[in-house]
Amino acid sequence: MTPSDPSLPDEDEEALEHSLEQGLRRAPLTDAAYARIHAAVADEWRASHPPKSRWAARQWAAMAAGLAAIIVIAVVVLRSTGKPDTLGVIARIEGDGLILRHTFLPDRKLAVGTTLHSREVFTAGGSVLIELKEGGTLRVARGTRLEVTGGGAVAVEEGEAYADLPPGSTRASTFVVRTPFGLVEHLGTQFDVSVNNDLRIRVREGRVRLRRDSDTETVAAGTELLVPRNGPTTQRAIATHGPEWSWVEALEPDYVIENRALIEFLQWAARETGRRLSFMDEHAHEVAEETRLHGSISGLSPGKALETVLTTTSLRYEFEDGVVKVSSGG
Amino acid sequence: MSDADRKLVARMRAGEQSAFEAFFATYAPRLAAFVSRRESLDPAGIEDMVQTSLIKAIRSLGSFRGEAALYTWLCTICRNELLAQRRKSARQPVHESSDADGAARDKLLELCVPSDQEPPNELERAAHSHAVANTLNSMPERYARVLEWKYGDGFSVEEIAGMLGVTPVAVQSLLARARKEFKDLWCAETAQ
Repeated sequence: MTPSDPSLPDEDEEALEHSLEQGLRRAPLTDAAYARIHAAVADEWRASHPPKSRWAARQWAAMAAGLAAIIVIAVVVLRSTGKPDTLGVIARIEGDGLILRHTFLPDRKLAVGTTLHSREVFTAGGSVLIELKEGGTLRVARGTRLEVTGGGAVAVEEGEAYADLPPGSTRASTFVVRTPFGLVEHLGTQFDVSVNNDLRIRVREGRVRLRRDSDTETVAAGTELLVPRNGPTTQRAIATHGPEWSWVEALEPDYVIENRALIEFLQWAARETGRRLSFMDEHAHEVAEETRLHGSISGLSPGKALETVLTTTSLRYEFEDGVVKVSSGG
Repeated sequence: MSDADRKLVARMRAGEQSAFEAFFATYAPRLAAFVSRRESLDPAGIEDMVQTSLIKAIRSLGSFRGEAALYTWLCTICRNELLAQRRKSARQPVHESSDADGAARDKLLELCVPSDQEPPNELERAAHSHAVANTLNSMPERYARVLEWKYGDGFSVEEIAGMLGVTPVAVQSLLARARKEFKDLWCAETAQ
Protein backbone atom coordinates (compact mmCIF):
# COMPACT_ATOMS: atom_id res chain seq x y z
CA MET A 1 0.00 0.00 0.00
CA THR A 2 2.24 2.80 -1.19
CA PRO A 3 0.90 6.23 -2.08
CA SER A 4 2.66 6.50 -5.39
CA ASP A 5 5.51 4.34 -6.50
CA PRO A 6 8.47 6.41 -7.79
CA SER A 7 8.33 4.36 -10.96
CA LEU A 8 4.77 5.41 -11.65
CA PRO A 9 4.20 8.32 -13.98
CA ASP A 10 3.71 11.73 -12.36
CA GLU A 11 0.15 11.94 -13.59
CA ASP A 12 -0.84 8.98 -11.45
CA GLU A 13 -2.52 11.30 -9.01
CA GLU A 14 -5.40 8.94 -8.40
CA ALA A 15 -3.25 6.36 -6.63
CA LEU A 16 -1.68 9.07 -4.50
CA GLU A 17 -5.07 10.49 -3.52
CA HIS A 18 -6.44 7.04 -2.73
CA SER A 19 -3.45 6.29 -0.56
CA LEU A 20 -3.79 9.58 1.33
CA GLU A 21 -7.44 8.82 1.98
CA GLN A 22 -6.54 5.33 3.20
CA GLY A 23 -4.00 6.80 5.56
CA LEU A 24 -6.05 9.72 6.84
CA ARG A 25 -9.73 8.76 6.79
CA ARG A 26 -11.08 7.65 10.13
CA ALA A 27 -14.47 6.53 11.37
CA PRO A 28 -13.56 5.68 14.95
CA LEU A 29 -16.99 5.88 16.58
CA THR A 30 -20.26 4.01 16.26
CA ASP A 31 -23.67 5.61 15.72
CA ALA A 32 -24.50 4.83 19.36
CA ALA A 33 -21.42 6.76 20.49
CA TYR A 34 -22.41 9.76 18.35
CA ALA A 35 -25.93 9.57 19.79
CA ARG A 36 -24.51 9.73 23.31
CA ILE A 37 -22.26 12.66 22.43
CA HIS A 38 -25.18 14.38 20.73
CA ALA A 39 -27.38 13.99 23.82
CA ALA A 40 -24.74 15.45 26.13
CA VAL A 41 -23.73 18.32 23.84
CA ALA A 42 -27.35 19.17 22.97
CA ASP A 43 -28.16 19.25 26.68
CA GLU A 44 -25.33 21.73 27.24
CA TRP A 45 -26.38 23.79 24.22
CA ARG A 46 -30.03 23.98 25.34
CA ALA A 47 -28.97 25.01 28.83
CA SER A 48 -26.58 27.71 27.63
CA HIS A 49 -28.47 28.95 24.56
CA PRO A 50 -32.24 28.85 25.08
CA PRO A 51 -34.40 29.85 22.10
CA LYS A 52 -34.51 33.63 21.60
CA SER A 53 -38.28 33.83 21.89
CA ARG A 54 -38.26 32.16 25.31
CA TRP A 55 -35.38 34.33 26.43
CA ALA A 56 -37.21 37.45 25.30
CA ALA A 57 -40.31 36.36 27.18
CA ARG A 58 -38.26 35.93 30.33
CA GLN A 59 -36.80 39.42 29.92
CA TRP A 60 -40.23 40.87 29.53
CA ALA A 61 -41.39 39.06 32.64
CA ALA A 62 -38.43 40.41 34.58
CA MET A 63 -39.30 43.99 33.55
CA ALA A 64 -42.79 43.50 34.91
CA ALA A 65 -41.50 42.00 38.13
CA GLY A 66 -43.34 44.55 40.28
CA LEU A 67 -46.72 43.33 39.21
CA ALA A 68 -47.48 39.92 40.67
CA ALA A 69 -50.50 39.34 38.46
CA ILE A 70 -48.50 39.96 35.32
CA ILE A 71 -45.78 37.62 36.51
CA VAL A 72 -48.35 34.87 36.99
CA ILE A 73 -49.62 35.39 33.45
CA ALA A 74 -46.08 35.45 32.09
CA VAL A 75 -45.19 32.19 33.79
CA VAL A 76 -48.35 30.52 32.55
CA VAL A 77 -47.67 31.78 29.03
CA LEU A 78 -44.07 30.67 29.23
CA ARG A 79 -45.07 27.20 30.37
CA SER A 80 -47.60 26.84 27.59
CA THR A 81 -45.34 28.00 24.74
CA GLY A 82 -43.54 25.45 22.64
CA LYS A 83 -44.31 21.77 22.52
CA PRO A 84 -42.78 20.09 25.57
CA ASP A 85 -40.90 16.83 25.19
CA THR A 86 -42.50 13.69 26.59
CA LEU A 87 -40.47 11.63 29.05
CA GLY A 88 -42.89 8.74 29.48
CA VAL A 89 -45.95 7.47 31.32
CA ILE A 90 -46.50 6.51 34.97
CA ALA A 91 -46.91 2.73 34.96
CA ARG A 92 -47.03 1.93 38.67
CA ILE A 93 -47.33 3.77 41.94
CA GLU A 94 -46.58 2.56 45.46
CA GLY A 95 -47.70 4.79 48.34
CA ASP A 96 -48.46 8.43 47.59
CA GLY A 97 -46.91 8.30 44.12
CA LEU A 98 -45.82 11.34 42.18
CA ILE A 99 -46.88 14.88 43.06
CA LEU A 100 -46.66 17.54 40.36
CA ARG A 101 -45.34 20.82 41.79
CA HIS A 102 -46.69 24.11 40.41
CA THR A 103 -45.19 27.50 41.09
CA PHE A 104 -48.52 29.18 41.72
CA LEU A 105 -51.22 26.54 41.35
CA PRO A 106 -51.85 23.86 44.00
CA ASP A 107 -49.80 20.66 43.81
CA ARG A 108 -51.45 17.75 42.05
CA LYS A 109 -51.15 14.04 42.75
CA LEU A 110 -50.69 12.10 39.50
CA ALA A 111 -52.41 8.83 38.60
CA VAL A 112 -51.16 5.78 36.71
CA GLY A 113 -51.29 6.53 32.99
CA THR A 114 -50.32 10.21 33.35
CA THR A 115 -47.82 11.41 30.74
CA LEU A 116 -44.82 13.34 32.08
CA HIS A 117 -43.48 16.31 30.11
CA SER A 118 -40.39 18.44 30.12
CA ARG A 119 -40.32 21.45 32.48
CA GLU A 120 -42.50 19.60 35.02
CA VAL A 121 -41.20 19.30 38.57
CA PHE A 122 -42.22 16.45 40.87
CA THR A 123 -41.82 15.10 44.36
CA ALA A 124 -42.22 11.37 44.86
CA GLY A 125 -44.56 10.77 47.81
CA GLY A 126 -44.08 7.02 47.24
CA SER A 127 -42.11 4.96 44.77
CA VAL A 128 -42.99 5.24 41.10
CA LEU A 129 -42.32 3.29 37.91
CA ILE A 130 -42.16 5.38 34.73
CA GLU A 131 -42.14 3.70 31.32
CA LEU A 132 -39.95 5.85 29.12
CA LYS A 133 -41.36 6.93 25.78
CA GLU A 134 -38.50 5.48 23.78
CA GLY A 135 -37.91 2.29 25.72
CA GLY A 136 -36.71 1.33 29.16
CA THR A 137 -37.95 2.40 32.56
CA LEU A 138 -37.14 4.89 35.28
CA ARG A 139 -37.92 3.98 38.89
CA VAL A 140 -38.10 6.79 41.41
CA ALA A 141 -37.75 6.24 45.16
CA ARG A 142 -39.97 7.91 47.77
CA GLY A 143 -38.89 11.43 48.71
CA THR A 144 -37.08 12.13 45.44
CA ARG A 145 -37.30 15.61 43.89
CA LEU A 146 -37.18 15.33 40.14
CA GLU A 147 -37.52 17.62 37.12
CA VAL A 148 -38.07 16.43 33.57
CA THR A 149 -35.58 18.40 31.50
CA GLY A 150 -36.16 16.71 28.14
CA GLY A 151 -37.47 13.64 26.36
CA GLY A 152 -34.47 11.68 27.54
CA ALA A 153 -33.28 13.69 30.49
CA VAL A 154 -34.22 14.24 34.12
CA ALA A 155 -32.67 16.26 36.90
CA VAL A 156 -32.53 14.68 40.36
CA GLU A 157 -32.13 17.38 42.99
CA GLU A 158 -32.42 14.98 45.90
CA GLY A 159 -33.35 11.33 46.37
CA GLU A 160 -32.83 8.21 44.32
CA ALA A 161 -33.69 7.06 40.81
CA TYR A 162 -32.94 3.84 38.93
CA ALA A 163 -32.75 3.76 35.16
CA ASP A 164 -33.09 0.54 33.18
CA LEU A 165 -32.31 1.06 29.52
CA PRO A 166 -31.97 -2.36 27.96
CA PRO A 167 -29.81 -2.72 24.88
CA GLY A 168 -32.02 -2.29 21.84
CA SER A 169 -34.36 0.37 23.22
CA THR A 170 -34.23 3.59 21.21
CA ARG A 171 -33.52 5.56 24.32
CA ALA A 172 -30.68 3.21 25.13
CA SER A 173 -28.09 5.61 23.81
CA THR A 174 -29.28 8.99 25.00
CA PHE A 175 -30.58 9.07 28.54
CA VAL A 176 -29.04 11.48 31.04
CA VAL A 177 -29.59 12.30 34.70
CA ARG A 178 -28.54 15.78 35.79
CA THR A 179 -27.53 16.14 39.45
CA PRO A 180 -26.03 19.02 41.44
CA PHE A 181 -22.76 17.05 41.27
CA GLY A 182 -22.64 16.58 37.50
CA LEU A 183 -24.29 14.88 34.59
CA VAL A 184 -24.73 11.09 34.65
CA GLU A 185 -24.87 9.53 31.20
CA HIS A 186 -25.55 5.88 30.67
CA LEU A 187 -23.72 3.74 28.15
CA GLY A 188 -26.36 0.98 27.77
CA THR A 189 -27.18 -0.09 31.25
CA GLN A 190 -29.08 -0.42 34.53
CA PHE A 191 -27.92 2.08 37.12
CA ASP A 192 -28.98 3.80 40.31
CA VAL A 193 -28.34 7.46 41.13
CA SER A 194 -28.69 8.64 44.70
CA VAL A 195 -28.34 12.34 45.57
CA ASN A 196 -28.14 13.51 49.17
CA ASN A 197 -25.15 15.07 50.86
CA ASP A 198 -23.09 13.28 48.25
CA LEU A 199 -23.74 11.59 44.92
CA ARG A 200 -23.72 7.81 44.73
CA ILE A 201 -23.88 5.99 41.40
CA ARG A 202 -24.27 2.21 41.44
CA VAL A 203 -24.04 0.38 38.13
CA ARG A 204 -25.71 -2.97 37.71
CA GLU A 205 -25.14 -3.56 34.01
CA GLY A 206 -23.20 -1.80 31.24
CA ARG A 207 -21.32 1.41 32.00
CA VAL A 208 -22.15 4.89 33.21
CA ARG A 209 -20.23 8.11 32.75
CA LEU A 210 -20.24 11.05 35.16
CA ARG A 211 -19.37 14.39 33.57
CA ARG A 212 -18.38 17.31 35.74
CA ASP A 213 -17.06 20.43 33.99
CA SER A 214 -14.33 19.03 31.78
CA ASP A 215 -13.77 15.90 33.87
CA THR A 216 -15.36 12.57 33.06
CA GLU A 217 -15.33 9.39 35.09
CA THR A 218 -16.58 6.05 33.84
CA VAL A 219 -18.19 3.53 36.18
CA ALA A 220 -18.40 -0.13 35.16
CA ALA A 221 -20.98 -2.77 36.09
CA GLY A 222 -20.68 -4.02 39.65
CA THR A 223 -19.12 -0.76 40.80
CA GLU A 224 -20.23 2.12 43.00
CA LEU A 225 -18.89 5.64 42.51
CA LEU A 226 -19.11 7.98 45.49
CA VAL A 227 -18.78 11.71 44.82
CA PRO A 228 -18.54 13.83 47.98
CA ARG A 229 -19.21 17.57 47.94
CA ASN A 230 -15.55 18.10 48.65
CA GLY A 231 -12.65 15.78 48.13
CA PRO A 232 -11.82 13.04 45.67
CA THR A 233 -14.24 10.50 44.26
CA THR A 234 -13.94 6.84 45.22
CA GLN A 235 -14.99 3.64 43.48
CA ARG A 236 -15.61 0.25 45.04
CA ALA A 237 -16.96 -3.11 43.91
CA ILE A 238 -20.57 -3.86 44.89
CA ALA A 239 -23.00 -6.74 44.49
CA THR A 240 -25.54 -6.20 41.71
CA HIS A 241 -28.17 -8.15 43.65
CA GLY A 242 -29.41 -8.40 47.22
CA PRO A 243 -31.45 -6.37 49.71
CA GLU A 244 -30.07 -2.99 48.61
CA TRP A 245 -31.87 -3.41 45.28
CA SER A 246 -35.15 -4.62 46.74
CA TRP A 247 -36.97 -1.30 46.21
CA VAL A 248 -36.03 -1.52 42.53
CA GLU A 249 -37.26 -5.09 42.22
CA ALA A 250 -40.54 -4.19 43.97
CA LEU A 251 -41.23 -1.77 41.10
CA GLU A 252 -40.47 -4.08 38.21
CA PRO A 253 -42.54 -3.44 35.06
CA ASP A 254 -45.37 -5.87 34.31
CA TYR A 255 -44.01 -8.83 32.43
CA VAL A 256 -46.41 -10.86 30.31
CA ILE A 257 -45.44 -14.53 30.16
CA GLU A 258 -48.39 -15.78 28.09
CA ASN A 259 -47.04 -17.77 25.12
CA ARG A 260 -43.51 -16.55 25.81
CA ALA A 261 -40.51 -18.91 25.68
CA LEU A 262 -39.27 -19.96 29.11
CA ILE A 263 -35.74 -18.85 28.22
CA GLU A 264 -36.94 -15.26 27.65
CA PHE A 265 -38.60 -15.24 31.05
CA LEU A 266 -35.43 -16.59 32.69
CA GLN A 267 -33.34 -13.88 31.02
CA TRP A 268 -35.79 -11.23 32.22
CA ALA A 269 -35.87 -12.58 35.79
CA ALA A 270 -32.07 -12.82 35.96
CA ARG A 271 -31.69 -9.24 34.70
CA GLU A 272 -34.37 -7.91 37.05
CA THR A 273 -32.61 -9.48 40.03
CA GLY A 274 -29.20 -8.18 38.92
CA ARG A 275 -27.84 -11.63 38.12
CA ARG A 276 -26.43 -13.51 35.18
CA LEU A 277 -28.25 -16.53 33.75
CA SER A 278 -26.32 -19.77 33.42
CA PHE A 279 -27.50 -23.24 32.33
CA MET A 280 -25.78 -26.05 34.16
CA ASP A 281 -26.49 -28.62 31.45
CA GLU A 282 -27.44 -28.68 27.79
CA HIS A 283 -30.78 -30.38 28.46
CA ALA A 284 -31.87 -27.52 30.72
CA HIS A 285 -31.02 -25.08 27.94
CA GLU A 286 -33.06 -27.07 25.43
CA VAL A 287 -36.05 -27.28 27.77
CA ALA A 288 -35.90 -23.52 28.36
CA GLU A 289 -35.86 -22.85 24.63
CA GLU A 290 -38.68 -25.24 23.80
CA THR A 291 -41.09 -24.53 26.67
CA ARG A 292 -43.88 -22.00 26.12
CA LEU A 293 -45.40 -20.35 29.19
CA HIS A 294 -49.05 -19.68 29.94
CA GLY A 295 -50.69 -17.74 32.74
CA SER A 296 -49.66 -14.60 34.59
CA ILE A 297 -47.05 -13.51 37.13
CA SER A 298 -48.76 -10.20 37.82
CA GLY A 299 -48.08 -8.95 41.34
CA LEU A 300 -45.13 -11.29 41.95
CA SER A 301 -41.60 -10.04 42.53
CA PRO A 302 -39.05 -11.32 39.98
CA GLY A 303 -37.63 -13.76 42.56
CA LYS A 304 -41.06 -15.07 43.50
CA ALA A 305 -42.04 -15.28 39.81
CA LEU A 306 -38.93 -17.34 39.09
CA GLU A 307 -39.79 -19.75 41.86
CA THR A 308 -43.43 -19.99 40.79
CA VAL A 309 -42.76 -20.52 37.10
CA LEU A 310 -39.99 -23.07 37.51
CA THR A 311 -42.10 -25.26 39.80
CA THR A 312 -44.35 -25.83 36.77
CA THR A 313 -41.39 -27.14 34.73
CA SER A 314 -38.84 -29.92 35.10
CA LEU A 315 -36.08 -27.37 35.77
CA ARG A 316 -34.51 -26.25 39.05
CA TYR A 317 -32.65 -23.10 39.93
CA GLU A 318 -30.38 -21.68 42.59
CA PHE A 319 -28.77 -18.29 43.20
CA GLU A 320 -25.01 -18.38 43.56
CA ASP A 321 -22.55 -15.45 43.43
CA GLY A 322 -24.63 -13.22 41.22
CA VAL A 323 -25.67 -16.07 38.93
CA VAL A 324 -29.04 -17.77 38.43
CA LYS A 325 -28.00 -21.38 37.85
CA VAL A 326 -30.65 -23.40 36.03
CA SER A 327 -30.36 -27.16 35.77
CA SER A 328 -32.41 -30.23 34.82
CA GLY A 329 -34.48 -31.66 37.61
CA GLY A 330 -32.84 -35.06 37.29
CA MET B 1 -13.10 34.08 8.21
CA SER B 2 -16.17 32.32 6.75
CA ASP B 3 -19.46 34.15 6.68
CA ALA B 4 -21.27 30.81 6.74
CA ASP B 5 -19.49 29.87 9.98
CA ARG B 6 -20.41 33.18 11.60
CA LYS B 7 -24.04 32.77 10.57
CA LEU B 8 -24.15 29.19 11.83
CA VAL B 9 -22.75 30.23 15.21
CA ALA B 10 -25.18 33.16 15.43
CA ARG B 11 -28.11 30.83 14.76
CA MET B 12 -26.86 28.39 17.38
CA ARG B 13 -26.54 31.19 19.90
CA ALA B 14 -30.13 32.14 19.12
CA GLY B 15 -31.17 28.61 20.09
CA GLU B 16 -32.04 27.43 16.58
CA GLN B 17 -32.30 23.63 16.66
CA SER B 18 -31.53 23.12 12.95
CA ALA B 19 -28.30 25.10 13.35
CA PHE B 20 -27.20 22.88 16.22
CA GLU B 21 -28.00 19.75 14.22
CA ALA B 22 -26.00 21.04 11.23
CA PHE B 23 -23.09 21.92 13.51
CA PHE B 24 -23.10 18.48 15.14
CA ALA B 25 -23.46 16.53 11.89
CA THR B 26 -20.66 18.50 10.25
CA TYR B 27 -18.10 18.62 13.01
CA ALA B 28 -18.57 15.71 15.47
CA PRO B 29 -17.33 13.01 13.03
CA ARG B 30 -14.50 15.25 11.84
CA LEU B 31 -13.42 15.96 15.37
CA ALA B 32 -13.49 12.23 16.17
CA ALA B 33 -11.26 11.60 13.17
CA PHE B 34 -9.01 14.50 14.21
CA VAL B 35 -8.57 12.94 17.68
CA SER B 36 -7.94 9.44 16.37
CA ARG B 37 -5.24 10.73 14.01
CA ARG B 38 -3.41 12.36 16.88
CA GLU B 39 -3.78 10.07 19.86
CA SER B 40 -3.87 6.31 20.39
CA LEU B 41 -7.12 6.28 22.30
CA ASP B 42 -9.71 3.53 22.49
CA PRO B 43 -13.20 4.42 21.19
CA ALA B 44 -14.41 5.34 24.69
CA GLY B 45 -11.47 7.73 25.05
CA ILE B 46 -12.17 9.29 21.66
CA GLU B 47 -15.84 9.64 22.59
CA ASP B 48 -14.93 11.40 25.85
CA MET B 49 -12.51 13.70 24.07
CA VAL B 50 -14.98 14.70 21.32
CA GLN B 51 -17.75 15.25 23.85
CA THR B 52 -15.59 17.33 26.16
CA SER B 53 -14.25 19.44 23.28
CA LEU B 54 -17.70 20.08 21.83
CA ILE B 55 -19.12 21.00 25.23
CA LYS B 56 -16.27 23.45 25.80
CA ALA B 57 -16.90 24.89 22.34
CA ILE B 58 -20.62 25.27 23.09
CA ARG B 59 -19.80 27.09 26.32
CA SER B 60 -17.41 29.38 24.45
CA LEU B 61 -19.60 30.10 21.42
CA GLY B 62 -19.83 33.72 22.55
CA SER B 63 -16.09 34.09 22.11
CA PHE B 64 -16.12 32.85 18.51
CA ARG B 65 -15.50 35.91 16.39
CA GLY B 66 -15.06 34.21 13.05
CA GLU B 67 -11.43 35.23 12.74
CA ALA B 68 -10.57 31.57 12.17
CA ALA B 69 -12.72 28.95 10.49
CA LEU B 70 -15.10 27.18 12.86
CA TYR B 71 -13.37 23.85 12.26
CA THR B 72 -9.90 25.20 13.02
CA TRP B 73 -11.31 26.86 16.16
CA LEU B 74 -12.79 23.51 17.24
CA CYS B 75 -9.49 21.75 16.49
CA THR B 76 -7.66 24.27 18.69
CA ILE B 77 -10.03 23.53 21.58
CA CYS B 78 -9.61 19.81 20.99
CA ARG B 79 -5.82 20.09 20.79
CA ASN B 80 -5.79 21.87 24.16
CA GLU B 81 -7.97 19.14 25.65
CA LEU B 82 -5.61 16.48 24.33
CA LEU B 83 -2.68 18.29 25.92
CA ALA B 84 -4.53 18.55 29.24
CA GLN B 85 -5.39 14.87 29.03
CA ARG B 86 -1.76 13.94 28.40
CA ARG B 87 -0.62 15.99 31.40
CA LYS B 88 -3.30 14.38 33.56
CA SER B 89 -2.34 10.88 32.41
CA ALA B 90 1.33 11.58 33.11
CA ARG B 91 0.46 12.46 36.72
CA GLN B 92 -1.57 9.30 37.31
CA PRO B 93 0.14 6.10 38.46
CA VAL B 94 -0.08 3.13 36.13
CA HIS B 95 -2.13 0.21 37.43
CA GLU B 96 -1.75 -3.30 36.18
CA SER B 97 -4.91 -5.32 36.19
CA SER B 98 -4.79 -8.86 37.45
CA ASP B 99 -8.42 -9.33 36.52
CA ALA B 100 -8.68 -12.79 35.09
CA ASP B 101 -11.92 -11.84 33.37
CA GLY B 102 -10.02 -9.21 31.40
CA ALA B 103 -8.29 -11.77 29.21
CA ALA B 104 -11.56 -13.54 28.56
CA ARG B 105 -13.23 -10.23 27.68
CA ASP B 106 -10.40 -9.39 25.27
CA LYS B 107 -10.81 -12.77 23.68
CA LEU B 108 -14.53 -12.13 23.22
CA LEU B 109 -13.83 -8.72 21.74
CA GLU B 110 -11.45 -10.33 19.27
CA LEU B 111 -14.27 -12.59 18.16
CA CYS B 112 -16.46 -9.54 17.57
CA VAL B 113 -13.97 -7.73 15.31
CA PRO B 114 -15.49 -7.20 11.84
CA SER B 115 -13.83 -9.23 9.10
CA ASP B 116 -12.39 -6.16 7.39
CA GLN B 117 -10.62 -5.29 10.64
CA GLU B 118 -9.07 -8.67 11.30
CA PRO B 119 -5.52 -8.43 12.58
CA PRO B 120 -3.59 -8.70 9.27
CA ASN B 121 -5.76 -6.05 7.56
CA GLU B 122 -5.85 -3.89 10.63
CA LEU B 123 -2.09 -4.09 11.14
CA GLU B 124 -1.43 -3.21 7.53
CA ARG B 125 -3.86 -0.32 7.72
CA ALA B 126 -2.34 0.94 10.98
CA ALA B 127 1.19 0.73 9.54
CA HIS B 128 0.12 2.67 6.47
CA SER B 129 -1.67 5.32 8.56
CA HIS B 130 1.39 5.65 10.75
CA ALA B 131 3.67 6.08 7.72
CA VAL B 132 1.36 8.70 6.20
CA ALA B 133 1.24 10.58 9.52
CA ASN B 134 5.05 10.50 9.75
CA THR B 135 5.39 11.91 6.26
CA LEU B 136 2.84 14.65 6.99
CA ASN B 137 4.69 15.54 10.17
CA SER B 138 7.85 16.23 8.20
CA MET B 139 6.03 18.52 5.74
CA PRO B 140 5.46 22.27 6.05
CA GLU B 141 2.42 22.81 8.28
CA ARG B 142 0.26 24.48 5.62
CA TYR B 143 0.78 21.57 3.23
CA ALA B 144 0.04 18.93 5.88
CA ARG B 145 -3.05 20.78 7.06
CA VAL B 146 -4.55 21.15 3.59
CA LEU B 147 -3.96 17.44 2.80
CA GLU B 148 -5.56 16.42 6.09
CA TRP B 149 -8.61 18.59 5.43
CA LYS B 150 -9.02 17.32 1.89
CA TYR B 151 -8.25 13.62 2.27
CA GLY B 152 -8.86 13.03 5.98
CA ASP B 153 -11.86 15.25 6.69
CA GLY B 154 -13.35 15.23 3.21
CA PHE B 155 -13.69 19.01 2.90
CA SER B 156 -14.29 20.22 -0.65
CA VAL B 157 -11.91 22.64 -2.36
CA GLU B 158 -14.54 25.38 -1.94
CA GLU B 159 -14.88 24.68 1.79
CA ILE B 160 -11.10 24.79 2.24
CA ALA B 161 -11.02 28.04 0.28
CA GLY B 162 -13.57 29.45 2.73
CA MET B 163 -11.55 28.25 5.70
CA LEU B 164 -8.31 29.73 4.40
CA GLY B 165 -9.88 32.87 2.95
CA VAL B 166 -8.45 32.28 -0.53
CA THR B 167 -9.94 31.38 -3.91
CA PRO B 168 -10.67 27.77 -4.93
CA VAL B 169 -8.04 28.11 -7.66
CA ALA B 170 -5.45 28.99 -5.02
CA VAL B 171 -6.49 25.93 -3.00
CA GLN B 172 -6.13 23.69 -6.07
CA SER B 173 -2.66 25.03 -6.59
CA LEU B 174 -1.77 24.60 -2.90
CA LEU B 175 -3.07 21.02 -2.97
CA ALA B 176 -1.01 20.21 -6.06
CA ARG B 177 2.15 21.50 -4.38
CA ALA B 178 1.31 19.65 -1.17
CA ARG B 179 0.75 16.38 -3.03
CA LYS B 180 4.06 16.77 -4.85
CA GLU B 181 5.87 17.46 -1.59
CA PHE B 182 4.16 14.45 0.02
CA LYS B 183 5.12 12.19 -2.87
CA ASP B 184 8.74 13.32 -2.86
CA LEU B 185 9.08 12.78 0.90
CA TRP B 186 7.28 9.44 0.79
CA CYS B 187 9.52 8.16 -1.99
CA ALA B 188 12.61 9.34 -0.15
CA GLU B 189 11.48 7.55 3.01
CA THR B 190 10.54 4.30 1.29
CA ALA B 191 13.83 4.34 -0.63
CA GLN B 192 15.80 4.40 2.66
